[in-house]
Amino acid sequence: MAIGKVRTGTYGVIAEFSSPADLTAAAEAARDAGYTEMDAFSPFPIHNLHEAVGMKSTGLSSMSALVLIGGIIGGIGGFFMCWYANVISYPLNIGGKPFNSWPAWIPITFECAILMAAFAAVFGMLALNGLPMPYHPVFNVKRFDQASRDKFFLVIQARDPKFDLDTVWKFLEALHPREVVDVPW
Amino acid sequence: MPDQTPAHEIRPVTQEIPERFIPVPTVEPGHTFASVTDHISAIVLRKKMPFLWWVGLAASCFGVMVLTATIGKLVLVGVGIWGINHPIGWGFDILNFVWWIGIGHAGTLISAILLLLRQEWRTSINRFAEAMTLFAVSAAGLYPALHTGRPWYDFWLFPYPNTMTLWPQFRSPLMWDVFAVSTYATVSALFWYVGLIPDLATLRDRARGKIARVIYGMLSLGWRGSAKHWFRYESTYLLLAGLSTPLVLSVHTIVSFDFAVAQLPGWHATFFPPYFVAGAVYAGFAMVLTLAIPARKMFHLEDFITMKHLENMGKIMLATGLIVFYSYCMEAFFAYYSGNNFERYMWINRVSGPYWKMYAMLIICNGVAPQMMWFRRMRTSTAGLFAVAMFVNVGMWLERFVIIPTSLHRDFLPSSWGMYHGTRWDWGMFIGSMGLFFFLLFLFVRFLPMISIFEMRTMLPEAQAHPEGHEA
Amino acid sequence: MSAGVAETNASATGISQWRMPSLVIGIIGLALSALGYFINQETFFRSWLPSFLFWFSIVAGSLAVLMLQYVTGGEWGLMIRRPLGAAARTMLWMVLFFIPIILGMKYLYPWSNTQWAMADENVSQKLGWLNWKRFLAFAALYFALWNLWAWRIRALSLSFYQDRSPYTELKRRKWAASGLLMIVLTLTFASIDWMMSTEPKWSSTMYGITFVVGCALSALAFVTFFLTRLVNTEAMGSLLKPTHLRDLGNLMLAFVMFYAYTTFSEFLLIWYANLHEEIPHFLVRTSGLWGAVAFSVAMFHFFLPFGLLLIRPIKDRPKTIAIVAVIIIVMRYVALYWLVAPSWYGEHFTWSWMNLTTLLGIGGVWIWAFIGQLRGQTIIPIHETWVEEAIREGALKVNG
Repeated sequence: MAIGKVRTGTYGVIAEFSSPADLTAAAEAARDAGYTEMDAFSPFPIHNLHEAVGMKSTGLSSMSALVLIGGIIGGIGGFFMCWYANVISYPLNIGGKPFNSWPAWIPITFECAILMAAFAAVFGMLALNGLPMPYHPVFNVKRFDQASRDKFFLVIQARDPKFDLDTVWKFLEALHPREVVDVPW
Repeated sequence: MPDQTPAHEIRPVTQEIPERFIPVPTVEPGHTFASVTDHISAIVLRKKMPFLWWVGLAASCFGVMVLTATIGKLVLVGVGIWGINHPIGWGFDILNFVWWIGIGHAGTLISAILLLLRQEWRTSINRFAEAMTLFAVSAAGLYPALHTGRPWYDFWLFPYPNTMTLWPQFRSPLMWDVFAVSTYATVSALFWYVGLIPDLATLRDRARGKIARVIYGMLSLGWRGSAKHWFRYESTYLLLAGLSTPLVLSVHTIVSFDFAVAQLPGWHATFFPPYFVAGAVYAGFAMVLTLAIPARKMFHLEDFITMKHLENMGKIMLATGLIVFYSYCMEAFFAYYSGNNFERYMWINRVSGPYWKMYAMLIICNGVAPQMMWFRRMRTSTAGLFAVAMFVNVGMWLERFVIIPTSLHRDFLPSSWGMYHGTRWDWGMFIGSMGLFFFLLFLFVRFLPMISIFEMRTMLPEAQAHPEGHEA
Repeated sequence: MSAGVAETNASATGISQWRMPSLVIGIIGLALSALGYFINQETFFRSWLPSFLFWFSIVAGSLAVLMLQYVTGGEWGLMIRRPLGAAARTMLWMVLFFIPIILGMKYLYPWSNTQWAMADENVSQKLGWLNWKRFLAFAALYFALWNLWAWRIRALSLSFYQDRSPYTELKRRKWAASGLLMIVLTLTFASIDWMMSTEPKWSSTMYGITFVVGCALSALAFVTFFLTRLVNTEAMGSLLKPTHLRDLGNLMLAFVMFYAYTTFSEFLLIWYANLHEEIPHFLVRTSGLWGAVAFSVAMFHFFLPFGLLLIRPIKDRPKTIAIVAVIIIVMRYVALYWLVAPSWYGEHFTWSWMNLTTLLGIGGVWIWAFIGQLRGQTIIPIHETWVEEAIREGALKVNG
């Protein structure tokens, strides 16, 4: 969605279901039918649904890696900060303790590691999810406000190589949805 | 010792299960995704709040005014208006700081540790408890910030290259505190906010007023419940829980270091870290009960916060209360076993000195009262739970009083002995910080869903798309 | 291929074949140690205590973790209840292994030299605690309580399997809850009596907590290792799921962290306050080769298992988690030796062949006793309510 460029036409076709099982079945059917560019929307996380809509995932790993990197940077940074300030930049004799009082640096090292790891987790999640994104075509669907209540949606996007409005429409209709509508940009 | 019974025989299901062994549900039956959503979001989106809410808001608002006045006086005159003086340089300020920060711990414990332990009953109380954490940390943070004497220079606590070419002294546990408390506040806020995002989207979609829609819309960051988003979201939530668990333990540990690194008898004890952490969890659960019991009544949440939640919190209170009591016993034993006159005198003075009444009340509140939780009848009665929780709230305040002024008031030299009493400004600030805490809580229940809606949906039987697919 | 729970009968899993070899090793170890007794009594007793403590920590930890399981319930106990129970009941043998400690008190505990103790400014203050009469009376009390609970819980389980009454189950839970209280208190004081008083002038309030946590860790590492030995048997191989091992891995991770937390806090506070009555404890234990031992404890008792246990595939595979469990078990001994031995030897790192023979001697006999307790039972607690429910629902099978 480049700024300044007005898109026209169809974003995709969306179908509404009334149970998580129906949605999962529909998403799996769409995947088996060869659709790749799609997304499912639900009012709560549904296990393994992300795989049905074509997201490749290996457990926690991508988020875990971010958190690990954040934690390592934070930890090293925290220790370095204490060490640099109290050993290199301004050494002071406090209570006869050595300048490099490493046991005393541990608490701050730990706190900094946790802080940076948490930042990496939250901001990494938001960035990977492309949030914040106040406008999105699916919000144009009139009943989409029910996606945060008790309804379940499956959208097949127009950029899918197999996308053809009529076929997709018929395909979704055959999955016994509550209704099918197309999503304008 | 071989088994007496045949190994292959499976008991037939003929036995009637006595009533007390039928498990209490975590959500009362009969709810749907829609009813859960509507019930919880209606509390926020309705126009009229209950009369009691207004009474509470007004009372706590008065508390905030008391706080403002006290801080004003403090800034004008200085910390001399407090009761602290030689030999007791740490009084109500640190006492209330520790009390408040301890209360905050239950929130993180419920949201993080119970999540990792797959305790599903946490779901309906975690949001509320996390909010409590944030507000308790806010109230706590006031004290050290003001105790510096010149709070407008508090930014000196942060390490930044400055014209004085000075750095903070990182060997000081008080600096550790700065990092621990600010990290704790930040991560708790992040955890809370991340948990809120899907519910903010629900409110965005359900709000009628334009302003409400726009505000909730901005806060929800455009959340649309995409399966791909949910996947990363859940990983993040688990990882944050994994990070918050050691964090919350470290915070009260570092608070305990404030005392325990000193050489003062009564403060210098190596078991302080776990002792403080257990006390914090204990105090926190008491406060969650203190707030949850009236709130579930006021907003008719009995279907979501069931007796099971209350009973479980009672059990945790008992377990942590026993750890706290273990610590009192260890303190007494090691006073003797150290073979050190000062250590022994410290304990004798604690029990029979001028502050003996505090110690006696402490034992009643923290040693005796929680033993009521051994009895199922007490654990399953809101009145019983509330009464014990109040004892614990008071008891944990007394514990910090017993640790702080009682250890300080008999210095090594009898010529520097003294007594400590809080002045009316001390009390004013304590009442004021309670006002702030409750004021924020009342606003929270007005503007944000106090129960996590999306997590409640996952608790319903109809949410099980794959009945066997549960994996944590 | 899927076996039934009834086929996890301990005899069928082939563990009995280890019974005799371990008894032989045990007897050889004890015989060699007895020889050592005649060569050097002092070294013999000072080797016996750490070896005893190591095996004892597994037994006591098993009782504690078992009671924790009965209080909290939860699937993490499915595979380990029976081994934990069997280990807890070997507490009777620990009474026997404690006898040399009584005999060798004068080599182990300086305060047992009354003349020296009366003359010492500090120790003379606490002779009400540090005297052999109280020491023996309390040791008898501890062992009585531990055995009472271990066998009482066993009896309640057996009667529950007979009468199947939820009230019996509740009674067992109540015994377990009060037992947790009992074991934390008794282990605290036992660690003060048996370990801390090797250095009678020194005291630290964290000591008991660290010991309790260490016991639980020993027990968890032991049962995890034990379970991974059963994976190759047909019955257990199909029933033991990666999630079971993952749960145990997570528990070990928690206790590894907890142990590091208490130990580091204790070190930091004593290092920081730098008081002359406290600091020698760590000065001795960080000087010379003891310092290297301390470093290895930090590395292999904390950092290595911590890092490994964060990785899920390592927790899920029997082969890898067995390695982690072995690292922890070995380091439990090193940590206990590091805590106790420098009290006698000062800054000079000391190690004797008798350390090994006592370790193998007690351990061999103990494993023989442990397997004896486990014989004739199924590894999976087939009569527990929730296991039966799983069987009824078809999630578990009785026979393959």
